[in-house]
Amino acid sequence: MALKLAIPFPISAPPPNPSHHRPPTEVRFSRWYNANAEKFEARRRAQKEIEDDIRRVRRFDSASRIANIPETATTSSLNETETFKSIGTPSSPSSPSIPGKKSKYSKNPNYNNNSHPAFKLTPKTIKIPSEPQPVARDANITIGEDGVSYVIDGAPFEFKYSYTETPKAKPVKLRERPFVPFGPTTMPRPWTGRAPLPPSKKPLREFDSFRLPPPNKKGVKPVQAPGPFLAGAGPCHAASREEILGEPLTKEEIGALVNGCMKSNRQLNMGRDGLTHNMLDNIHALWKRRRVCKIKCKGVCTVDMDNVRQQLEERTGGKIIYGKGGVLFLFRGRNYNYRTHPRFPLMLWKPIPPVYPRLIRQVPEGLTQEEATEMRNKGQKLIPICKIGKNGVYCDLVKNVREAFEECELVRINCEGVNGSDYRRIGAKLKDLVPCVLISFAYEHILMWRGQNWKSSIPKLDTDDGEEAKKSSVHDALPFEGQEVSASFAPMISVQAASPETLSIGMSPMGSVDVGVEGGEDLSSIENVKLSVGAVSQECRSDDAVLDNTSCTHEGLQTTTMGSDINAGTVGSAGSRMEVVQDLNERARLSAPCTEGVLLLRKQAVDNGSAIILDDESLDGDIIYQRAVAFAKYAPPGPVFRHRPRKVAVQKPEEQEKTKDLKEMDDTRVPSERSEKTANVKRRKDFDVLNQDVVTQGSLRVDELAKLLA
Amino acid sequence: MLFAVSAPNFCISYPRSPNFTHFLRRHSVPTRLCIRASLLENNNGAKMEYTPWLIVGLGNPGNKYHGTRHNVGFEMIDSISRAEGIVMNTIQSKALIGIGSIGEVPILLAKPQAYMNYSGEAVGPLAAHYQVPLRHILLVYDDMSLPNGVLRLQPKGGHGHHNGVRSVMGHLDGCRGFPRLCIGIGNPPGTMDLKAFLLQKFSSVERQQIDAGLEQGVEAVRSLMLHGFNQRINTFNLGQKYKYHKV
Repeated sequence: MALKLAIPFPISAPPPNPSHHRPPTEVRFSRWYNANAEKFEARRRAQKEIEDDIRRVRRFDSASRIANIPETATTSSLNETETFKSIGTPSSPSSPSIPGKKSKYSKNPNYNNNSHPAFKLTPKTIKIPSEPQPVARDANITIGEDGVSYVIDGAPFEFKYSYTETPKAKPVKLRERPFVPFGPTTMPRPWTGRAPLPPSKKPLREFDSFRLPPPNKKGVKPVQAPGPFLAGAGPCHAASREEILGEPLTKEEIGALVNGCMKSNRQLNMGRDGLTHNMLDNIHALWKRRRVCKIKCKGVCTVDMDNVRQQLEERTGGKIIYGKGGVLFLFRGRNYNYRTHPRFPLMLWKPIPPVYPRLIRQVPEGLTQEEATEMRNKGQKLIPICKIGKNGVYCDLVKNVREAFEECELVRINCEGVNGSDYRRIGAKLKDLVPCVLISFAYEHILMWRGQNWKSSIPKLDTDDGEEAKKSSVHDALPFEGQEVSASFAPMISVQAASPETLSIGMSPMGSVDVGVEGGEDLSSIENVKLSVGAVSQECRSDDAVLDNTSCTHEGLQTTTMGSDINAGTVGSAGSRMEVVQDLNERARLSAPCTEGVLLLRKQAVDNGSAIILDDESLDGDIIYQRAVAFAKYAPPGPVFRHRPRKVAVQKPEEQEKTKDLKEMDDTRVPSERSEKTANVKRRKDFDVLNQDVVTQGSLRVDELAKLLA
Repeated sequence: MLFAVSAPNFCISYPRSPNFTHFLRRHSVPTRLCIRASLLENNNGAKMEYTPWLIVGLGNPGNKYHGTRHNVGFEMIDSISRAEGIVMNTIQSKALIGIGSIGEVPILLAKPQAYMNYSGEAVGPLAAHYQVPLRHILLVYDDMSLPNGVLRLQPKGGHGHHNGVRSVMGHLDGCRGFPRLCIGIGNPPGTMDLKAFLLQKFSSVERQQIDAGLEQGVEAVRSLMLHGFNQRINTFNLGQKYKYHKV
């Protein structure tokens, strides 16, 4: 049965305060937030709502004050709370108890005890630059020179839809009738898409970057102070661009700013349209709250990051403090004030893109029809130099294409998966930046030709080779005159006897002159050489410079073209002599003074027992391995490699000379150099754990040394 | 330059270079020899470095691993030794070495006979014994990050998860600042096991590419010994990077 209640159902608490939600029927102009129309868009509270808010705020304040009374309450605070008298609300102050008599409870509520008119300070008159005049709404708009930019009287620069992606080529025509994207000029207020709200009586508080709200104020979005400034300095009112930027930032300041911004989500994304006109407004909106604006660039616009940077700095007036890959950090300037930032009309609609001339011509200039088709066919088989993905960062693309052109005149880039218009835009940019000619976009690949007037950017180095060879050979001829060639041969030949193969092997690169020297050098030929060495060395000097170079330069200059040409030239004249001379070359090459030191070290190792020299038959892989394993078992452990940085080596030895005379020259000099040890310890951390038992081998000797020296 | 004549007298016969007088005082033991001061014969002042180079090729020893991908280092050393006429006939410190020269620069070719993961044990003592400075140790090894047959000469780098390079770095006092010649072998196809891929022999097409690459590498090594790291090496690297992108 239905109950009849006196009070209509449902019984509930009084309806909650109407919070600041908008009425549901209101249409929001969602896509493009129009900062210029803010005063027409903000919702104004009704009078009753204002009074309710004030009541609530006061109630909460008093409650929090009571809750936060400290335990050792002073009398003054108690007095304050005890003597509180209501002063009513602004619209209905308490009426005086005695009508006609002035009551202290009905006075101006803002009248404090301290503010006697006699003590009021006259405010200093500070000249504050007024807000810049926004561009008049009905100013003339004309199309600029390149057919896509809009010139408005009173604007600092001509406006374009995109400042970085506008092609340099002139448009051919427009697809449809053009319209002005900046909104209608017939209204005195900006276009908001709906009927305006009644203007509020309350003056709209202006946002001034130099006067920040107190830090604890509720309901205020966080704002970063202007700066950074050294302690004591403050922001100054600046008008021109350089003044707004202020002093150039120091490294620490840059580091601090960038670190603070690195992980924040608040960023602007720049995509295939590059720096658009409305993005400028977004940047200023970000700068309202934070000093640095983070911009992430992806896709087509990253091909030419330099242009992006230059346009950003120019159009916004900020400075790029850090940029890596596709990310840019834009600093607003030390003295930036949001109040005085330039206001442009926003583009409410995307202008109609004009038609540009075709990127790819059937027969590009410099080529005939057949050549062009041949290139296209060749391009089908060409391996692409790289693959680009959608929304990637292509900073290195231009550099790689230029490098690839050094090797081959055609270059192919794989763009599978990328939007059609995107890879065509990339192609157009490459055509301008790397100067090249686009051949085809078939199968989602870009095929480019380097053009007829292509010049390599790497200087030719072939001439250096020849010059250096001549120089060194001429100089080398001099010191070898005084050399006792025979004496140095003697000990070496015993070694060579064990390995005559080298001579035959070494002959092959000589190339042009194989005068039957291959096929077994016996000792007789070696003896011949020994005898004729003296003769040849005599002849060296007497012959003309040409032969001089070939015979007396025992160094492997046989690889130079000069040597081989001369060899070929003198085959007929001195066949047998060339044989001997070449024998001499080979022997001498192996026993050249430069290798003597190394060979002596090896000899010492052999004497020491740490090395063995194998003979011919056992040069097979398995045999070598087995012998090496067997040998390693009884060979003494080798020295440990110690890296000595040059700086340390120069200073320390002089000290050690004096202190330690009897220092055995060893490769390990660890005990005396502490600094190295710590560095060694750090580096050894990366060393594989498996091999640690090997380390101890070397360290044993170090301990012995330490005992000796201690 | 009467090195070989009589060992004790050598100190006296070298009055010239300042480096040598310094070393004279340091050790009174005459048997040891220092070849540090090989900056001799600089009459024209040309800056050529005559300190010896140690060229090490990494690989696994024995005929079983001959011609596998991980052993391209050995193959490179073999082609250098063939080209320069250097015979490798000495066993020292667990490696097979050969001594020779390119131009005026003495070189040591080495093929460590320890298995790949322990190559460092061979290289470290060898470099120390022959007093080769870190910047003159050229390591030749296979690299999976490069396409097959592409070579790259770098003045320094990391180990790139190559156990041989890691062990060498560890034995060279933890330093990574030695030059390397990386020979590309490409990625294992699909989901092939990494180790199986490395121990596999080359296919015929790849074999040809590798052979061509080795010849170019020998030229590059020669240029490196004679002229050091300069624009020539950059050109070589660029050429290798784009050598298959030709028609």
